[in-house]
Amino acid sequence: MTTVPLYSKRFTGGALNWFGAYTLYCKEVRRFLKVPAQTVIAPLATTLLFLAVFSLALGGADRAMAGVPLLNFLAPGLIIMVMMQSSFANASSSLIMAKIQGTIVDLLMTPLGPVELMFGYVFGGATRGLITGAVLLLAVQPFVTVAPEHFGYILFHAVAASIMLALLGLLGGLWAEKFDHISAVTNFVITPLAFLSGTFYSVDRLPGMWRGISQFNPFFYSIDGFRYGFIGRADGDLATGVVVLLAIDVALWIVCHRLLASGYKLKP
Amino acid sequence: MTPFHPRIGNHVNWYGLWTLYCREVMVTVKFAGHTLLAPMVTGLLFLAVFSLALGGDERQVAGTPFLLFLGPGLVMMGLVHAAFDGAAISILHAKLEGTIIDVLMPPLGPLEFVLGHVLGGATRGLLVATVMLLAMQPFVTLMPVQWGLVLVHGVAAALVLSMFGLIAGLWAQKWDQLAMLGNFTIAPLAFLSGVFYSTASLPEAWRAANLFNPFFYMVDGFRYGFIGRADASPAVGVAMVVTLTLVLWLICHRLVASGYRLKP
Repeated sequence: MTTVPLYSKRFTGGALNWFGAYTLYCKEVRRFLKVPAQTVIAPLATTLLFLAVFSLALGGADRAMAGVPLLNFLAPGLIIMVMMQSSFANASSSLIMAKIQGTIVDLLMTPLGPVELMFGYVFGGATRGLITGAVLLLAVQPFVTVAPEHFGYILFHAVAASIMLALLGLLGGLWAEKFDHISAVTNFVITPLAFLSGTFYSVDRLPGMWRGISQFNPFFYSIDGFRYGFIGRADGDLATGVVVLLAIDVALWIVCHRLLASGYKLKP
Repeated sequence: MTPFHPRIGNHVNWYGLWTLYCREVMVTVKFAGHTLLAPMVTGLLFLAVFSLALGGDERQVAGTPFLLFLGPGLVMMGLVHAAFDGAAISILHAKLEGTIIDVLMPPLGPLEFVLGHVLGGATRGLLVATVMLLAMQPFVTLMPVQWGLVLVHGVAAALVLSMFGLIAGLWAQKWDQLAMLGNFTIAPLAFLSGVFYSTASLPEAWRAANLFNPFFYMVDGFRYGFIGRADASPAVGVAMVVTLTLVLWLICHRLVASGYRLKP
């Protein structure tokens, strides 16, 4: 008599363990909601500090960037930057901590295939990004009125960027073997890319060669597109941005799926 | 006297102190990518971002070119964070891992404990400051003009923040608490202390509030050593940081001697 796996065939014909995927997703979300001070409030404080510093540093000279007041230009950029960094942090820290503490076994023992694992980690990380972004959007209103103009772009780029960074976080978490590895990736790859992709300034300010590099930088496209949804002006081509983000997300999804399926650094 | 002689009278366990200090510095050096390079990258990022966003041709703040104004402030910010982290993380990590016993069991009194951790944290801060100064040279030539002020403020800031880190490390019982403390006290005070702008351009109330911000004096005095201009009197700044160093030293010593959160 063959044993029937308990959960995997519960709700569907056995194609996907929806219950398991959803459970993993809930765990990922609750994980960051449990320490809101660190995961939601801290980025909030940092962003408000940035806004305060920029507004104080203006010193009366009404600076404009891309045709809008500097703060109105800055706020959406900061919001999406925080969303991206939060998504990456959630996925990567979850995996690396599981690996270091040994609780990764709890994950590998369950009837969760690569798709379910990705569902949990990627959407969990993206959820953290989106929630943090939403809270931030509300929090900056007293200081700079950020009004959405093109909801479509805002929604698309928020979701696509969060997913992209969660996928990158998953990749990083799989690759890293110590905390140092993942903090190196965060400090030397993600943060510079997030800072230097037009968050604080219009890329028109960059000298020629650097501006050209921006055309290949997905971070730039998501920041630019997200900000376009608020201020109605973009530095790069919006359509290209959408295509690039979609392509990157699909490509990263496939890569992550392959790695998980092969058991890269998870199974001996 | 043998190195492991217990404290008699005012005898200081120099060998033990030196060992503890070396361990603290070795932790910094061993994880140099994380402790030294990461702040360097952050400082350079800030330099790039702020000059691209707020700079522009010939932008000046208080009569100084913007990058020259910004550089020393960023170095001080890196120094401050590194010194705080050095002491706080060392102690909290030891407490949470249980290795604090390795520091409490040996014949190290409060003096050695505090000095070892504080000097270790301060060294980390100063190393970060040096690395950042060197890293910024290709972009903005920062040469100290008044070495006295630069050294006094640099060392005093490192000591003050290291001591504050020691207190924070003793107080915190979870990593979250330490992160909160850093994010809601150190970061705001450091950001708003005139690193990115001259406080002379602030409204009256803000400028007065800044006079109670110790980071303002540290940044101001340190920067004066590079550019020769300050928002407040350098003499007042020096007096302020020296006083703060002594006061914090007394607090730290008292805390550790009483065994606050170290011994039941």
